[in-house]
Amino acid sequence: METKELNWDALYAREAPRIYNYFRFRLGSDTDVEELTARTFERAWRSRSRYRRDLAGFATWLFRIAQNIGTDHLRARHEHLPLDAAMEVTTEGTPERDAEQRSNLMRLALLCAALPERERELVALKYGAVINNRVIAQLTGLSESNVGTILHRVVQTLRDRW
Amino acid sequence: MKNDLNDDFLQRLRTEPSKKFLSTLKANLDRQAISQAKARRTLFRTAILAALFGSSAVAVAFAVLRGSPAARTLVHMPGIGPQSAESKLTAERSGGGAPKSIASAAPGGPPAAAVTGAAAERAPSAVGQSRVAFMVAGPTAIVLNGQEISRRWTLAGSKIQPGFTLTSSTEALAMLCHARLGAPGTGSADIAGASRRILPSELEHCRFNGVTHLAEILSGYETVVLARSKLYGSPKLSARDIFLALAAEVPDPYRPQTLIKNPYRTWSAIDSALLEEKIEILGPPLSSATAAAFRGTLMEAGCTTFPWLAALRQTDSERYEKVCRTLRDDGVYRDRGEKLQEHLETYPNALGLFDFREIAAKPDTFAAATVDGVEPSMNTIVAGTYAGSRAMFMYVNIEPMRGNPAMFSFVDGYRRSVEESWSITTLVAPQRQADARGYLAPLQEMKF
Repeated sequence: METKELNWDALYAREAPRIYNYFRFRLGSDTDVEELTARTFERAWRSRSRYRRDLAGFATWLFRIAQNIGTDHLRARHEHLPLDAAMEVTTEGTPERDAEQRSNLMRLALLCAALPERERELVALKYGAVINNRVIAQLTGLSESNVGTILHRVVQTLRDRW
Repeated sequence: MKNDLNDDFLQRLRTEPSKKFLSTLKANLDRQAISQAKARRTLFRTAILAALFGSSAVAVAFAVLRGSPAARTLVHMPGIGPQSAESKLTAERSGGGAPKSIASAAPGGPPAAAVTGAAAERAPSAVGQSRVAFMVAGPTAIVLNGQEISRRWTLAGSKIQPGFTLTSSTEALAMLCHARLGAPGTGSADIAGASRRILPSELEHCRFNGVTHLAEILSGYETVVLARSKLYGSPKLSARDIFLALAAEVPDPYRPQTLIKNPYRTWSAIDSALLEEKIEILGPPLSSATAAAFRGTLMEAGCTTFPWLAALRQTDSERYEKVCRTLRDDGVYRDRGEKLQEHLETYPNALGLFDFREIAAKPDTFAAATVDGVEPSMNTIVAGTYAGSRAMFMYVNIEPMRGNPAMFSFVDGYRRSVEESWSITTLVAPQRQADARGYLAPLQEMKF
């Protein structure tokens, strides 16, 4: 019924880069990001006839699927790098922007690895997916103000350790 | 560099996915949508043909059997009239007791007919109504979730429906294993839900009774939360505090191996570090799924912090159940009523007992209690660190599923409904289920 009103092409164009970057931040690298993004959309598209607007906004629903896929992937991967490894990722000598960006992303991921799971998730949702605090609150079960407070604290922590 | 790390810097780490990737994925999604539409049309045609064929078969069988004792058995199926499935659900009990059979029906749809007795289980519930193709037994969360799938089938015009039996985990597993430990006439089940893993002894029972191929599906987590108004912040409690606050009987502080009627009226009496506030918990009826989950999670977690009570589980399971899962009935725990939110806003000491999803849906209204320093969240639930959560399992007898596509569809639909948060259910925090066929592990591969 209501699903017919949704413009799925427009939703795809808007959400695909956000999901993609959510996974980049969540994993801290570009590896597997395309595959996880594709799996998220394939699962969502397979079920879209059953999507119910009255239960959740589209972004909330889509990111919940992405969260599940990301959690499963991380659980299966079991990679734990020591915090000290962050020091080995240099930010110098990488003149190409992409290389610098990858380096920064990896460094960020290594620093985030020392944070609790919840805070890593918040960073990926906020800065990777660029989702507002209200939607993040819905996705994580935290209050909106709590999300803001935690993110502020996390950024401070990352800045101190950078 | 240090000062550069701010919101803007973090967002600059984003990058656009490649155009090739986006266009390839989009093309795949479009193809998927087209094939889905085709599959739906095929399914619809098949369902029509199956319905026509089924009706003809029933008519022929009826003509052949007419006048025989077998025909009379089919015609005189017992039923209990148009009582809704939902109203029956509220009567769930967490422990033993007679299971309740419920034929699924959509809310507002045709009345549900209850079918009791093994002989009548797979028969049509009434002429022109749904056919019970297989049986599902289990606690409320499993049955509610299953009924949502059943409702979708009904809305899609399907005449094939599962039958549901609301019962405890132990009895559901007994029905699955054809052990018939439950009440007389309970019958068997093809699918059993449980709030715990199947025991080795139950598996052995299954094997002994010829049920040799079971699949185990971790189908979600049932989670409860104590919370108060957001105005007063999150309470910090331990599972032991919660048990001592709400159990009917608690260890005597002066003779620790002796039980006494719960004397605690204030939190500070339990632990001097807590506030001197009256203990007041408002929750759903004790017969509800949430209260049952509360008894099986937070209460039990607190109870087992006393080693001698934890040991009872092995030595005297009946007493263990009674001590660890019985709530006090002196008014400290009471029905939450309709004005719960107002009450919690008025009384800072009052706590409400909620299903996790209620709290997650209203993060600006309620503040959930941390338990032993762990706050309830999707992550802590999945990680198993939050004491107020328990995993829910579904066990499927594979043999009857081989010739029963509807049963396979149900299992797959159930898995997806939890995974994608479709259903209105108490189950949360789905987990990976790669492929419907992939997780159907045979019995001999199940590890303990």
